[in-house]
Amino acid sequence: MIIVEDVSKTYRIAHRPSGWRAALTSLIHRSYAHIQALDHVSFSVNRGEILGYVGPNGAGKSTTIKIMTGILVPDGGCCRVMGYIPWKHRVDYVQHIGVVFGQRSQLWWDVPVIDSYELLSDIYRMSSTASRRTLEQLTQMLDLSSLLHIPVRQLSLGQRMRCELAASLLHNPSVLFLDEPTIGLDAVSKLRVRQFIKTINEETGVTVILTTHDMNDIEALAHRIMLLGRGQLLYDGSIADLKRSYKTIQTITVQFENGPASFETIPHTTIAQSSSGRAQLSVDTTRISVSDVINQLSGSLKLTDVYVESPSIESIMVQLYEEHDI
Amino acid sequence: MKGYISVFRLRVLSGLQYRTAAGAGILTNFFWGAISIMVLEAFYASSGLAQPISLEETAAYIWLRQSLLMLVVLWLRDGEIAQSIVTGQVSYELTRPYTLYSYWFAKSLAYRLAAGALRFWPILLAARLLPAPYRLQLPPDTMTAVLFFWSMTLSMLITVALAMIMYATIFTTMTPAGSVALFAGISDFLAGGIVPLPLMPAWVQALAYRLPFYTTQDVPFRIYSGHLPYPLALESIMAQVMWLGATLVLGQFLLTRALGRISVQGG
Repeated sequence: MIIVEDVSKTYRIAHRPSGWRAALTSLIHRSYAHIQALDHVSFSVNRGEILGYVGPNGAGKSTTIKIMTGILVPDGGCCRVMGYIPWKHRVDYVQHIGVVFGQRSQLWWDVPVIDSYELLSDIYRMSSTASRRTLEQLTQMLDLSSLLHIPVRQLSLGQRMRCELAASLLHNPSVLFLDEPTIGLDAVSKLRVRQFIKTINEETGVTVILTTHDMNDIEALAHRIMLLGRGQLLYDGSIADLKRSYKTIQTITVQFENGPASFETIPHTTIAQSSSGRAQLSVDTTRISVSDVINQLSGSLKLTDVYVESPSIESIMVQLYEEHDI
Repeated sequence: MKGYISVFRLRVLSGLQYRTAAGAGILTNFFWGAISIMVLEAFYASSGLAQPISLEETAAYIWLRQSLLMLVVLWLRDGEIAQSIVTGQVSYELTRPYTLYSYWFAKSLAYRLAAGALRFWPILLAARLLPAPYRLQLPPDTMTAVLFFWSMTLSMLITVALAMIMYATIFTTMTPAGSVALFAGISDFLAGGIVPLPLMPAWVQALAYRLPFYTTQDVPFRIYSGHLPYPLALESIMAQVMWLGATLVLGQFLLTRALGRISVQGG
């Protein structure tokens, strides 16, 4: 479906030290810094997949999306989506994709939502019956009926994002690019957006490329994640694999009745936190099993509560970022 | 085509919402026109020589310019297009199956027509009711009126085509203010927007008639009053057609080139 091979992109950024002197110098001679946004990135995506694309700010996620959607031309490498080279066959190609940039809006600011939809279905040269049918489905799935006749400027962010999603799907695209679709949304709106993406992927088989900073989005949706840092692909695989490889450190939280206790005797275990009646231990599970630790604890203490935690995807990400120094 | 018509329609409809702005604009435009004619009247009265264009023809020229300002001035920029380049909103437009040039052209034309439609008639109406020599005269015959209509249509298209060239340069300068100031000030002067071109010194005229700008104001406003009589009027309309072709080609070339090397702003 999508093949990205060896894609690189460098931005040239005017660079100017602060101060009068530098400002005057830059009138005559400008110095530029070259920033490698993408450094020989290759991957491929299969039909119907939901791909979570993660990485810190400035890692090159948006640049990749913009290359795949035909907006930017890469400096080197090749990209094919459904057989099209996005920036070369832009007009024919974009007919088959839907895009949501979470930080921008594709709806007309001062007219009702429905007007934007009608414009879009004309732009995509859809027959009126086809567009009406799709719109009805989307209206129902995203609960838009009360929003369609309100000018976009009066919608809340959550409402607007639902309308944006519908706008990107009106022409039944085969690939959906979502660049931070949950940015700034409250918990309920986020859940709704997630649920919708999941449903639409299952029902229509649309391939979804999703970038986000919210790991819950990734956990709820992505079949596969790709981690990008400093323009390079650092991880590409399933979340389960990622979790498995980072599952070696487990956290055990215990509550107990009798006063202060000492945990130093248990091997391969460090105390993360301890107070009277409560302690949090990190256990290296390659050296000692969790049940062994609990056994030893219950031998010396009267436990009232035990809570075992795997590292969250969020903390795995932090660890990954740190490991790769990004 | 359907998409371009549709965006044209939507832009006209949303443009028609701004009635208060139009109301304020009408007053300004009207008084500016009246003052311009007063100044020229004093100038005509103090000069003993015969002028290349009569005061009545000049009054018509100025009223047409003031009422049709929205259609022919380059300093009226479609904020939405300029902003979309600067903020990076243009990325959405590039994910649509249309040619950006045609889409912006339709949008920009609609914006001007909507703004123009709200403003032109109150000024023309008021100018018809003024006493001579301020009064707006009707064109001398129907043929002139027809020629004026077509010439005006061409003017508007050339103006949009010139504006598109301006938008293409924003990709490089990244400040709409800069591109507009550079382009609009000079172009309005050379179009005969500040002082009608026939009243300009010969060397300015020589320069102005070699550039495309005069076809946006000088040609239609002089055709209207009959100052450009029939064979000359047709010749000027031919020049308009030629300049329209040239500006369309140049604009498309510049925009295509700019899009090949853009870096979209802001994440």
